[in-house]
Amino acid sequence: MQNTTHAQVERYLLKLRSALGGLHDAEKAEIISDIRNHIEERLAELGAPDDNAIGQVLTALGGAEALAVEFQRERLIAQAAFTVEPMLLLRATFQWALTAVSGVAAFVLLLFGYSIGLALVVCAALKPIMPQNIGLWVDPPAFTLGYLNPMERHGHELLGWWILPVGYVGGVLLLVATTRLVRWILRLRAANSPSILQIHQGQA
Amino acid sequence: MYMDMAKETTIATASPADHWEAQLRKGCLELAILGSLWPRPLYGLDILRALRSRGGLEVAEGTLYPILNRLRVDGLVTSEWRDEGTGHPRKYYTLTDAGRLRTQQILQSWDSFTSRMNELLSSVRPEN
Repeated sequence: MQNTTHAQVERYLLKLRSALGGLHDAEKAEIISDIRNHIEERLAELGAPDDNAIGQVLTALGGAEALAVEFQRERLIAQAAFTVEPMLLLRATFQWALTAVSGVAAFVLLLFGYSIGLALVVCAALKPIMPQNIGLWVDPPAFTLGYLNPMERHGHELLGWWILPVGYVGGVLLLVATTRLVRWILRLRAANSPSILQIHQGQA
Repeated sequence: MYMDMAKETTIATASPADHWEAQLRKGCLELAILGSLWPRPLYGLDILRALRSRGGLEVAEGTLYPILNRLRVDGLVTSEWRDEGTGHPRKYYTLTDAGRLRTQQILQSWDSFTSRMNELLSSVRPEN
C-alpha cells in the first residue's frame, strides 16, 4: 500500500467517494478499494510513483466526478427500485427509457401519475382562494381539472367543495400509488438479479 | 477556418460504421468481462489485458470498474484480496455460480443471434 498515500491520489479518491452520493457506505468502500487497487497496480507498472506517473494514471481513469457518474448510472435502476424519491425514480426511468420501449412506458406512466396527482393536490389547495375558477369541469366528452376562466367555461363543475377531500386524499394516494407501481416495475426488471433485492432489503 | 476543417475531419473520421462498431463493442462488454473471468479469477488490470489481447477490446479503465461493481452487486462476481508477494495485495474478481449460469445464458443468446445474423447476411458476403 506504499504508493496510495500520495496526496494527489487521496484527493482523487476523496472526490470520488463524495461524488458517489447516495450509494450505501459498504458499496462506496468497495468501489474506493477497487479504484485504489487499480491505481496501485498501474503505479507499480510505471515504476516510481512521481507526480507525472500519478497524473497519467488518474487521467486514464477519467475525472473523479465523471467516474462517479458511470458508477451511479450502472446502479441507478437497482437503487430506484427501493426509493421514494420522485427525482431518483424519474432519472432511473428516463435512463431506462433511453434504452428500451418498456422504459418509455414506465417513464410515461410515472409522468402521468405524478402530473395528475400533483394537479389534484394543487387544485385542492387553490379552491378556497379561487372558488369560482377551480374545479373538475365536465363538458362531455371532455374533462378539465384545474383553473377555468368564467368567460370560457362550458359544461358544469362536478365536485364543488368535494374537491378538497378528493384532491388532497386522491392526489396523495395517486402519488403514492404511482411511486409504488413504478418501483414494483423496476423491481420486476431487476428480478433476475435476486442479490440486488437481498442487499437493499437487508440495508433498508 | 482551421476550426471548420478540423471539425469536418473529425466528422469524416467518425463514420456511421465506426459508431456502430463502438456501440456493438460496448454492448458486448458485459459478456466479454464475464467470459474473461470464466477460466480463472483475475484482478482489474488482468481483465483489461485479457479483453485487449484475447478480445481486441480497448476498454477505458474508467469503464471497467462500474460494470464490475454492478456485476458484484448483482451477485455475479465476488472480489477478494490476495497477497502474492508483489509488495501489495491484489483484488481478484471471481465468477459466482450465478455468474457462470448468467454467462452461459448470455452466450446462448449470443450464439443464436450471431448464427441468425450470419445466415441473413450470407448473401452480402463476397463469394470465396
